[in-house]
Amino acid sequence: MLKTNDADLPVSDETLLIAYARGDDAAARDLVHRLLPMALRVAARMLRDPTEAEDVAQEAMLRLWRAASGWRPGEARVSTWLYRVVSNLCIDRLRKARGANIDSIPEPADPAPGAEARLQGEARAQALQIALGRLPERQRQAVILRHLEGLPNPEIAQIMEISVEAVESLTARGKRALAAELVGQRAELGYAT
Amino acid sequence: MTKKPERPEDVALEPFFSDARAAAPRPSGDLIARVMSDAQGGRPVRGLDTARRGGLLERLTAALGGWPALGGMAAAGMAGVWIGYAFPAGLSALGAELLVPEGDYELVELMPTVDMFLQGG
Repeated sequence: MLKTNDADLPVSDETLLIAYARGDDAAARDLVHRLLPMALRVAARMLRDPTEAEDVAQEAMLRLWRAASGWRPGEARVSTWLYRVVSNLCIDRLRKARGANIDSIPEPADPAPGAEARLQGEARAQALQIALGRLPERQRQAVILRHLEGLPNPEIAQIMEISVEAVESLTARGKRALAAELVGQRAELGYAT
Repeated sequence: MTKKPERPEDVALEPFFSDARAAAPRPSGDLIARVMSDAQGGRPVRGLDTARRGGLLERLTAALGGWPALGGMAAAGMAGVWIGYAFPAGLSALGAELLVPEGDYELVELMPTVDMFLQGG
C-alpha cells in the first residue's frame, strides 16, 4: 500500500520540503509524488464527492507549499501534518454541507448487483464507502486512518489531537457500526460467508 | 499495514478494508498539474513578507500616493524655497496684479443686526 514513511526513504519529506522552499522544483515534484496520493485517498474516503476530494487535496498541498518557508525541522512529520490538514479540511466541508443542505450531497451509486468479478472489488469498496459515510465524522476519520491508511494509533492521536485511548474508542465504535451494516451484505457482495 | 484481525468485527471487516485499499483513487494528471502549478506559484520569495509589511517610510509613502506624488510634493516645496530666497523681479508686479490694491475695498456688514443686539444686551 502507498504510505509515506520518512524513515524508510533515502530523503525525508522534511528535507524535500526545505529544498523546495529554497527553489528546488525537483523536490516539489517528489513531494507531490509522495504526498498527493495520500491526501487524495483520505479526502476521497472522508467525503462523498470525488471533485470535492480533489479540491481538498489541492488545498492541503497549497497549505504545505505556503508552510515550507517557516517549517521548523524536527517538530512534526510532514505526512502527519498533511494528514491533519486534509482531515480538518474534510471535516469543515462536511459540517458546512450538513448545515446547508444534506440532500444536496451526492450519494454514490449503489454497487451494481451481479457485477463481474473484476468489478466486485470496487463494489465492495463502494459498499464500505457508503457505510463509512454514515459514521460520525470523528469515527470515520479514525477508522480511515487506522484501517485504510494503516497508521499506528499514536500517530492517529497526533493527527486528531486526542489521546491514544480516545483513538481506540473511536475506531472500536466505528468498526462495530460498520460491521452491523456490512456483515449482512457479505454474501451479496461475493464474500465467502 | 494493519494488525492481524482479532475481534469478530475485525475478521468481518478486513476483506472490505482490503478491497477498499486496493481500489484507492489515484491523482489524475490534471490534479497533479494543478498542484505543481500551485507549487511553482506558491514558493515563498525571500524578503517578500518584509516588503509587503513595509516600514514607516513605505507606509507613509503609500498613504501619500506613492513615489510619483511624493516627487511632485518635493518639487513644489523646492520651488517655494527658491521663490522665497531669490524673490524674482517680476513677482512684485504679479503680486500687484493679483492682490487687491490697498484702499480699494470696502467693508460689508454680513450681520448688521448683531451690533444692535450687543448694544441692547
